[in-house]
Formats: sequence, structure tokens, C-alpha cells
Amino acid sequence: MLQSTMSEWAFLNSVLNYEFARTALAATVLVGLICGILSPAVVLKNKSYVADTLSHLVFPGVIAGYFCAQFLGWPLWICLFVGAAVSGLLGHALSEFILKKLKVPPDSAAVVTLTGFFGAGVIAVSRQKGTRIDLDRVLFGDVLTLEWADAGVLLTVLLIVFVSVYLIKNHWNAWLSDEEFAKIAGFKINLINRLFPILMTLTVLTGMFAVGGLMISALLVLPAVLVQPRRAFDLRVIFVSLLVCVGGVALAFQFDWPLGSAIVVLGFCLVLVKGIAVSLKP
Amino acid sequence: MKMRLKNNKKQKPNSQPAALSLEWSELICGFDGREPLNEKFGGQISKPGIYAIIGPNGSGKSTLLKTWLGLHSPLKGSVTLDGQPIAGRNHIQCGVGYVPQSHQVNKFYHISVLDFVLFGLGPKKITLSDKEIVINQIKIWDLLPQINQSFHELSGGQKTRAVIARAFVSQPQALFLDEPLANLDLCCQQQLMETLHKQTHERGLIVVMVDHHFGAYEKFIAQKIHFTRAHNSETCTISFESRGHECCNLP
Repeated sequence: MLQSTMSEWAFLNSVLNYEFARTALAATVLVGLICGILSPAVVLKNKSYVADTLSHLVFPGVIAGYFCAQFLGWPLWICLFVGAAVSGLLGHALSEFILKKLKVPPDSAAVVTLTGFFGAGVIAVSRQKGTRIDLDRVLFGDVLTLEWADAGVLLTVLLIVFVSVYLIKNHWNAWLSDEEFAKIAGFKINLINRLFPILMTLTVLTGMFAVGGLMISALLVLPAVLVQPRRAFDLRVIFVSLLVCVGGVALAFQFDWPLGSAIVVLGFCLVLVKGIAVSLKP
Repeated sequence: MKMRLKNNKKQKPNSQPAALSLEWSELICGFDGREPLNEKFGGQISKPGIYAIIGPNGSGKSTLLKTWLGLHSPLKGSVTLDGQPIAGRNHIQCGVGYVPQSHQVNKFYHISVLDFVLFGLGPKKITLSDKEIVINQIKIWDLLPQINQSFHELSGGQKTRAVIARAFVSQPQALFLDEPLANLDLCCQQQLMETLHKQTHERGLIVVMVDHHFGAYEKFIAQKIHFTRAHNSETCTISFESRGHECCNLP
């Protein structure tokens, strides 16, 4: 048993000798930290659908960015980032518009918008016969092709998210509890209402290129579901998020699984274990 | 119409008269694209006492309360607190407290009763003496055994008491309450009304309350603001009723 564990450890060690593996691990750790910071706000404010929605909303922006880069010769990463950010924020605003004007449940407004945007992206791809965009790469990411510059972008987003949540964590807590009262009590609720979609868009965007759009939405939810925190900034959630991500990397390298899927399956199993443990508790 | 709300001149003089003055002019409340909820009216509340807003469901009582607090934009008219527009101001610093209906609290956020009541102090750094004030309010409203329990594990009445305690910790000079009696048992209703009445005298507190009826507690009320909806109309007429003494000036 000990021998088998030792040999597995030696295998992981040998994998980490490769540059791409080290970059992948660093990128995954950074994604884990970002998601760990934002996860309580996403789950406790009942906004889990927003992460999923955004990962689809940015799709037409990614396509538009790709075309801009190809036909105008602008740098690809800037085109993708700006296109996706504009598309994500526009989609979020349209979803809120539908929600307020038609008075439908928020998840219904989100689903209508996300499918519309995703469909527009697919049409845009189908109209350009000469261009091939790998949908799998957009949805499931490709962490093994990331470079240190990508990790640098993730680190920047991590710093933005950390500063935005940690420095005004009491305001986030008040926002989670009772927005109307918090506004009257002098908490910065309008700021948080503007900040939240921006942080979510940044996270989904950067995470999309690492672990994929679908996986990032799961990663934003899993840590808080596992810990069930009582505040917006909780170190336990960040630690669990990190643990799930690193565990997922280990599983992916060991068994040659896709990274994003390994992380999410591990997280799902842990949630099931927690559910069983809670139900067995006297 | 224009009204001025004053308290009974025959009542005992207050040791600390309220410095706050809530004023509104040509106010019409409601929602964009829908019929107005009330006729245009103006007035001022600056004297301590309990002011009750009474009317049927959907008549716009809570909307008027939220418009006065700056949480809801009026269709027409303006609301000022001490001469400044009320919207966007830090109400706790201005001495204004608010007791919303307890179902407004996010049910997915399992915050403890202590942390919930602490929010009543606003975004300031919490000191030990602040915490003592909060624990004292929790004790007054009989929630000490539940202090570390999740807010959402409380009963309806306990939740209302926690929301009231949260409003009282900042020692407001004016307190706005949205249907606070609805979930309370008779004992707590009595406690709330007596506490409010006592504080109008001792601290010069201004209390504005929304409810359907006040039953046995009408004796505490200085002024009633009635919303009456005519048949086949969304818009209410507003009338005023003083409790045993003349306390409003109508045109």
C-alpha cells in the first residue's frame, strides 16, 4: 500500500518536471483561489445560475474577438478578452432587463438569454465556413496549453477579486443578508451590485480558458456548497476550493482524465459524501 | 392637500425633542407604467409620537413608507430629511431606523442572530461596547437563547423581534416600521407598542408604522394616515385622523 502511494507520488513528481504541467498546476491553483473567494457570494445570494449563464453569454464575444483578431490582425488575447467581457456584461444587463420588465423568475430570464447568446455564437461560427473554432476548447478549456502569461492574467484577476471582497467584506455580508436594510444602514450596496457582475465576468472569462466555461461555473458553486459558510469571505471555503482543484489535477495527471472534468467529479463526490455524513449524524 | 403632523400639546414635554424633520411635497407614490397609488399630498413630521399608516392590502402603505425612506423613487414630488433629499443618505448616521418585513431577509444566508442584529450599527468598526449594546437589545427582545442560532431557524415572531432589535441598536431618532405587529404574539405586540410609546416621551422618538389595524393599541397613536381606495380605482385618497386631539393642519 505504502509502496503504491510512493510510486504514485513519484509519478506526479515526474510529471511536474514538465513546464506545461507546472503551468497547468499554477493556473488551476489560481482558479481555485479565485473561485474560493467568490463562491460564498454566488451560493448564499442564490446566484449559482449566473456563473453558468455567464459562461454561455461570453461565447458570442469570444467568437467576435476571434474574428477581429483574424481579420483585423489585432492581438488575439485582447480581442477575446474584450469581446467576451462586452458580451458577458451586455448579456447580464439584458437578462436583468427581461427579469424586471416581464417579472419572470431570475433563472428563467437567465436561461432565455444564455441560450439566445450561445445560439448567436453558434450561428456566427457556422456562417464562417473557412474558420474553425473549437467549441470543446471554449466549453471545456485547455489548461495544458496555457503559458505563464496566462497564469499572470489569472493572478491579476485573483488580486482584483481578493481586494474587492476582502476590503469591504462587511458590506458584502450586509448585501447577502438584507439589501434594502443594508442600503438604509449605509452599506455600499450599489457598489457591490455593480461589482458582482464584473467580478463574475472576469472570473468566468479567465477561468474559461483554463478549465473551461462549464467547469468554472461548477467551481464557483462547489466550495461554498461543501463548507456552507456564514460570511462572504471565508478562509475554509478558499482552502476547500484549493483542495478540490489540486486533487483534481492529481487525478487528471494520474489517470489521464480531462482536468476540468476531474475537478468537478471530485467536487461532486465530496458533496455526496458530505450529504451522507449529514444524514447519518444523530 | 397639505398636512402638518404634530404631537399632542397636552402630553408631557419631551426631555430630548427630536431634531429630525421629514418633509414631503406634492408626493405621488407608485410604479412606472401603472396608475398612481395615491393622490398628491404634502406634509411634515417633526414632532415625537406614533404615526400610523392604515389601509387595505395593496393600497400603497409600504410603498409610501419606502418612498419616505428614499428606497423607492416617487412618481412625482420630493422627500427631504432636514432639508436634504433623503435618497442615497446614510440613514443610521442621520438617526433613521427601519424595520422591514422579516421575509425580506435572504433565506439562503444562514447568519447568526448576533451577527444579524450587529448589522443595525451600520458599516462601522464594532467595539466591545457596541457588542454590549447589541447583546442588551437581544436580551430585551427575548432572543438570548437563540443568539448563536441561524436567523432562519427562528419562528416568524422571533424573526420580527430580531428585525426590531436590529433597528433599535442604532438608537434612532425616527423609526419606520412595516407591519411589525403581523407575526408577534399579544405579549410581544404589547411590549413593542409600550417600548415605542415610552421612547417617544423619553427620547423624543418619531415612529411611523404601517399596519392594517392597531386594535387595542390605538391609544398609543398620535395620528392616523388612512389610505382609502374608491371602487374601480387603483388610486387611494388619503385622510388624516387625530387621536382625541387636534394635531394636523389640513387645507
